[in-house]
Amino acid sequence: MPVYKRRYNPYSGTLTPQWSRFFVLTRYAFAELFKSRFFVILLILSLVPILFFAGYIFVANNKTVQLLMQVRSTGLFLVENEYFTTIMIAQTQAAFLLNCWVGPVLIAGDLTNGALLLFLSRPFSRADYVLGKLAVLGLLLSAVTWVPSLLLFGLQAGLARNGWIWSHLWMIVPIVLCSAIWILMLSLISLAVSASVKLRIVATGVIFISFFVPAGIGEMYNSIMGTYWGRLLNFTEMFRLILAKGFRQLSGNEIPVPAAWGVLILVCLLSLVILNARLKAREVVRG
Amino acid sequence: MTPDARQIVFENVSKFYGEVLGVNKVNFTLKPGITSLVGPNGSGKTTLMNLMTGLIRPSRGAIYVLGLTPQQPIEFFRLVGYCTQFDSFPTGTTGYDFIYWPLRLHGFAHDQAAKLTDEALQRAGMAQVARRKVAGYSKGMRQRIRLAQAIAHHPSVLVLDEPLNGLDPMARAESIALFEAIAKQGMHVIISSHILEEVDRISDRVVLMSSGYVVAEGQIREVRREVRDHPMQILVRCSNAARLAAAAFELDHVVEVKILNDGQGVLVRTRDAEQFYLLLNKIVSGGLVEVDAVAPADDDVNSIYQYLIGSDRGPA
Repeated sequence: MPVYKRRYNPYSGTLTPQWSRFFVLTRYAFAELFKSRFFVILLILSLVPILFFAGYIFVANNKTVQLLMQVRSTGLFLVENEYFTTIMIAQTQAAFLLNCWVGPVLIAGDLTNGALLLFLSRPFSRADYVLGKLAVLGLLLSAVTWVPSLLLFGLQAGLARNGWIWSHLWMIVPIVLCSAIWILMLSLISLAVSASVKLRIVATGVIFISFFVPAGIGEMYNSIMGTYWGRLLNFTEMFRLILAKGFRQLSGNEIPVPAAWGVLILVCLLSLVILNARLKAREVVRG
Repeated sequence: MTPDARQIVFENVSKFYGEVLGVNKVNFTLKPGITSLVGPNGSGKTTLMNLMTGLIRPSRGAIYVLGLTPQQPIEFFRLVGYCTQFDSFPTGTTGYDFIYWPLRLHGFAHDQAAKLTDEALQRAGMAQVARRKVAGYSKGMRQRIRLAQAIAHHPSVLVLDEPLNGLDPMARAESIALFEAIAKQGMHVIISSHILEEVDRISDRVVLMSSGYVVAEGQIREVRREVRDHPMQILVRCSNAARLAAAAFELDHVVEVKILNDGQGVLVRTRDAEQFYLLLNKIVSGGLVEVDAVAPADDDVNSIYQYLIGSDRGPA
C-alpha cells in the first residue's frame, strides 16, 4: 500500500451563488452571437420599426409639426390602445424572425459536439442548462418586444397631456404579459427544435412549419367539420386573440380567450417534454 | 453501511440499457491512488465511469464517492473531474475558453477562474496554444486540453477515460507523471486504458471487467495470486540452471521448468510460488547455485488480462 502524503486540498474559497450559474451559459452564448455580423444587422433591423413608431408618437403630440405637414384631420394621429396593438404585432413578428435565426443553434451545437456531457458533469443541472439557453432568447426577444414598447409608452406618456398616463396605465399589463407568453412560447419551441434538429436551415424550416402547418390543418378541419375550433391550431391567431383582449379591443373571434391561453401553455409544455426527452448527459442507445 | 469519506464505493450496482446489460452486480471499494479499469470493448468500463461521475444513474444499487451520492450534484460534481474519451467541444471554442467557462459553471468568480485556468493550462503543457481554437488542435493536444479541464477545478476524484490515447511518447510520459503526482497527494485517479504496460507501471490497483461484470479487483500481485488456474511463472537468472531445474522438478507443484536459451537461468511454472521460493532459498544457501535475479514473469496486468479475459479478444 503506497504511503500518501495527503497534502492535497480541494478549493475551499467562495463561489458564486448556485442560482446565478445559468447566466454563465447566457453570457457565453451572447458573446458568440455578437461575433456574427448578420445577427447584429438582424437585431438592428428588428428595432428599426421602433424609430418609426417613435416618430409617429412625436408627430401625434406636436401640433407644430402637424401644421407643417398640413394635417387638418384631428383624428389622424391617435395614440391609443389600437396603436399599441399595432406596435406589439409588429415587434412580436420581428421577434419571431430573430428567434428563427438565433434559436436553432443554441442547443444543436452542443448536441452535435457532445458538449452536454461537459456541462452536466459540473454542479449544473439540466434545468439550469435550459434556463441558461432560455435566458438568451428571453433577453434578446424582450429587447425587441416589451422593452421598446414600454419605452414608446413612456415617450407617449411624457409628450401627451391631460393625464394620458393615468388613463392608460393599464396598458403596461398587456404589453408585458402578452410579450412574455409569446417570448416563452417562441423560445421553448425553438429550443425543442434545436434539441431535435442539428442543421440550422432545417431547424429554421421546422420552426416555420410548426407555426404554419398546424394552422393549415386547423383551417382544413374547420372547412370539413363546419366549425371554428380548428383555429386553436393557429398559434399566431391565438396570440393575437389574447393581445386584442389584453388591449380591450373587440376581436369578433368565437374562440374563448382562456382556450387561447390554454393552447399556448400546452405548446410550451409540449416543448418542455421534448427538451426533457432530448437533453441527456449521455445518449443511451437501447439495443 | 456508512460510506467512507475517502473511498469510492459501489454497492451491488447494475445498469441496464433496456434489455442490454451495461454493468451487473458491481461491488468494490476504491482507496486513494491510481486505479485502472481494464477490459475489452463493450465490457462496461465507460458505463462504470459514467456511473461514477453521476452522468447516468444505476438501475440498481448505490454509489458513494467520498461519502456523497450523485443525487447530491452540487457537492458531488465539485469533487469529481471527468475527462471523457469523446471529442466534446462546444463549437468554435478556444482552449482557454474550454477551461474557463466550465470553471464559471462551477461557481468560480472571474479572477479565480482565470487563475485556475492558467494553472491547469500550465500543468497540461497547453499554455502556449491556449488562445487557439480547439478545432485546430491535434489529437494529442485535444487530449491534453481535456485533461487540463478535468483537473482545473481541483477535484478530489479524477476520472480519465482513455487519457493516454493519441499522445506522443513524451506527452504520455508527462501525463503519467502528472497522474502519479496527483495520486501521491492523496487523490483518486481512475483511468481506463488499453495500454497495459503503462497501466501496469502506474496503477496501484486494477479493476478487470468483462461483459459487464467485474472479474477481478485489487492490487495486481494480489489478483495474480488469486488466479490459481494458471501456474505462476518465475524467472530465475542463475549460474547452474540445470541443477536448479532438476531440483525444481522434484516439487509436485512445479508444472514446467524451462532452461533459458543462454543457459543462464530457468523459467519455472508453479502452482505454489511460496514453496518454490523456499526451495530456492535452500539451494542458494547450500551453495549449489548462484542466483543473480529472481522475478515473477507474469504478475502484470497483461498476463492477468490474458488469463482472466482471454487472449482471443484484444483489449480496449
